[in-house]
Amino acid sequence: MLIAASALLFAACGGNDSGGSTGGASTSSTSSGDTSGGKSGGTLSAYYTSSPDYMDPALSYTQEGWTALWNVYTPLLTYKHAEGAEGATLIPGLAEALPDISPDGKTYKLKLRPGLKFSDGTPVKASDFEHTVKRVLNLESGGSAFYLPIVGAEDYVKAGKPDADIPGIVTDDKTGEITIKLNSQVGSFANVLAMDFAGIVPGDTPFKNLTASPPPGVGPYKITSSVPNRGFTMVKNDQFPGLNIPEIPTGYLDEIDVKIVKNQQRQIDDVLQNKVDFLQDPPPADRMREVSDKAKGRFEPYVTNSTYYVFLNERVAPFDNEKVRQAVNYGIDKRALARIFGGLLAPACNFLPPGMKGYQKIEPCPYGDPNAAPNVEKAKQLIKEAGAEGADVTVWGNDEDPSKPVAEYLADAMSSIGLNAKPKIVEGSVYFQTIGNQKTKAQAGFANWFQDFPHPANFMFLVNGKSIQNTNNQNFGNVDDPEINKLIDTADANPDLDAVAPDYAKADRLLVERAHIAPYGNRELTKLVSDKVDFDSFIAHPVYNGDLSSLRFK
Amino acid sequence: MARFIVRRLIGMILVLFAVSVLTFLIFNVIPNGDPAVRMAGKNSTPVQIEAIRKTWHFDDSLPQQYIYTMKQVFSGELVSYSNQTNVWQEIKKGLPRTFALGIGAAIIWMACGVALGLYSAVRAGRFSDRVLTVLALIGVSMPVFWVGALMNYYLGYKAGWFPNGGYVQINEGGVWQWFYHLILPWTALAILFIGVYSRILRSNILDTINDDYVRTARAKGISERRVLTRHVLRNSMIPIVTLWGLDFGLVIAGGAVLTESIFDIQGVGQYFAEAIGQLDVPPVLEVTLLGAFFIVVLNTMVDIVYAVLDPRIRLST
Repeated sequence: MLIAASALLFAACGGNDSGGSTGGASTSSTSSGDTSGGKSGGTLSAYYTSSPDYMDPALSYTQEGWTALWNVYTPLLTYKHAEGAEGATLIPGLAEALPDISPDGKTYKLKLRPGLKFSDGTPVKASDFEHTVKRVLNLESGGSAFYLPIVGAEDYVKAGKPDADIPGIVTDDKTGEITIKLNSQVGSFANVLAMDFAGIVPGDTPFKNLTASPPPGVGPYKITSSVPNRGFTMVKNDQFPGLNIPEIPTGYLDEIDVKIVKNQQRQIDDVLQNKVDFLQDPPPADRMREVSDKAKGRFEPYVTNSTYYVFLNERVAPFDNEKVRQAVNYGIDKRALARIFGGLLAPACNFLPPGMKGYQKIEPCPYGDPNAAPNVEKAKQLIKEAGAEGADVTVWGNDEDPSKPVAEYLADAMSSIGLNAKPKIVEGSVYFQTIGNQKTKAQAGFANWFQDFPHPANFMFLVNGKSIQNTNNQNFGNVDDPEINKLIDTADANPDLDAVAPDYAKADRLLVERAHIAPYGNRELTKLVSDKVDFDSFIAHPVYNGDLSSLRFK
Repeated sequence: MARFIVRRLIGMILVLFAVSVLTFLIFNVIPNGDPAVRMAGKNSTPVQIEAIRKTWHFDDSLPQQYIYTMKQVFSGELVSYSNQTNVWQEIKKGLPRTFALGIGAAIIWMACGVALGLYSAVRAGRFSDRVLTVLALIGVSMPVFWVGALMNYYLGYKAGWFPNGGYVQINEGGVWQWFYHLILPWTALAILFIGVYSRILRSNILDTINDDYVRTARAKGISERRVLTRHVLRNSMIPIVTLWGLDFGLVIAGGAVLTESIFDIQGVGQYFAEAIGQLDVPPVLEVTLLGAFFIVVLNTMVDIVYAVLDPRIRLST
């Protein structure tokens, strides 16, 4: 017993993790500031449920990572710090202006702002951009596919030599000019330049995952501590205000202290008791009512640029028949699905989400009001007309919430309209690989998409016949409608999004009318903060969600 | 003793080898679990997937992959497939938390289990014994996730007597905060074991208490207290020690995953569970090996303690 007691003391003293939570109140020692409607200063305590995958801009591909890194690593282009469609507006970041695009849409010219400095005081050079892209490609980042259209990028990846040149990127450190050449037109490439992957880091940043000691960047905050799976700390970057970059806030809070708290019940308890100031994730479904009652004035859901839909594989019976696909669209109760999401789903008819340019609400929805009861009789009639009564259907889903209950509900709904449907649930980490393999012949199932960037091309490739692959296919329903393909291809090649937005809207409408898929809603997230935070300062950004550089205390 | 330790060491190496091969194989034969495709992300291209296969040795034969992985395990360079963090560093971060939880709970359940088992045996058949029997059965029947959640809600959130989960290191919050944050997790984890241990000990004592040697001890005029502690309890403790070694090994090897999750301890168990959920082979492999190591070592220690408790047991036999 004594040995055990000694070991216990040893265990208690061991470890060098600095992320242990005290669960105590945040030290929001605010001081008077010159900002309107709130105060500058103080330390914001925040909880994330999941650790950011990486705290390295070249590698991070999760919302947790992006929310933090957006305010640390500014790319050449970025987005306005605003909600809704305004927040999806591209603005120059470290570049002086939006890119000058050649008439053929293949060459992008940009110029760095003068006098830029990283958080460690090192001057920013144009060549740092090429190094930044090289890191994304060389580290096999999940984002590298976005940069493969650059001339020579694919060869660079194949060669596996970090210091090799990417001929499609030409930089001049003296003038700050950056020229990027693409193999073909990519209308959304300006958005790709605004992704966090392209958040510029110094040219001598090593080709390795730097999560434990993130490199310097240019942004309102810098990361001073990062302990994977425990948390991270961001403090104001003193270099940034002097750079005078318009439309990017310099940050109100002195420090942001993020802890990974995996128990969501504890998260809710602590925010309700004002022991923590900011939650990244929405409350679990069973506590939604309690939170909306107890956190009045500091809790609000908002719709994200995401789409949840049922894929219906057109290469496999019975969904090769348009009437069967229409029947599914008529037969699913989107209100019931919203309940599965704990109410955090806005029922919808469109495939494109409302915050996306090119979105035009399909009204009236051909299958009835998404917020009303389904037309089961009509659905049954269509199944009869298609001769598909009793047809066997496997509805695929994965074991992660809410995919499993959604798949189970869909199977039930399909059975109630005359099909013989059964759910099939597979492991979440291999789900999309499984249904994306043509050999699986997955008939129907759960699918969703959260935008990588606010451009309709980032959604429409999911239903473009050109994107169908034998393995790793993301067009799960094998949608291949020539008219829709043509609309998407033409629009995708044009960098003038305003000009092609109606084409995307038309493609969206045709997709729904022809029942190629069955969209049912857009995911909602929530703003939830402590009483100490000025709720009006909470910007639910369409790309990065909670904007940490805009938050401030009352 | 030396021969015993050598024999145990050889056995431990064989166990660890078998566990590593099995774990590696299981996670490599799961259908559609191509780690290169998962690592490449949702927008991956064939070029990118191929590059990952090459870098991570996924294109090697399975035995070569196994050897490569084991080299990384023993050089401390194994990294997670999901976020490239060093697995050993992650385990090292979690181990003090798991040890703090496991050792504290083990002390509580052993001390309480022995005390209650002894008291119950001495008062066998009386009202207090019956009450303790019912309490023990309740303790055994209550799942830790339920007890933990209730404790957290009523004692942590509602009453505010205890922190609502979390872990504080001594060097950050001091001994009191560390202790204060662990009271509920220790209790929740220990309750189940207290019930089991007290029941087993009670039964062992009642079996032993009428043995000839106990009667002889009493006939020699030794006090009842001394008979109980030096003769009855000592012999009755042998199966308890075995059980304690196994249970403690299991808790340290990730068996306290539910307690860690409910109280957000973020120890090795929680790390292990998340790795399984993501089919992330490196952490699963390394934690499994570590768990097997602890169990083998603890069993060896238990065998040594046997000899101390009962000199008739010879380690060489």
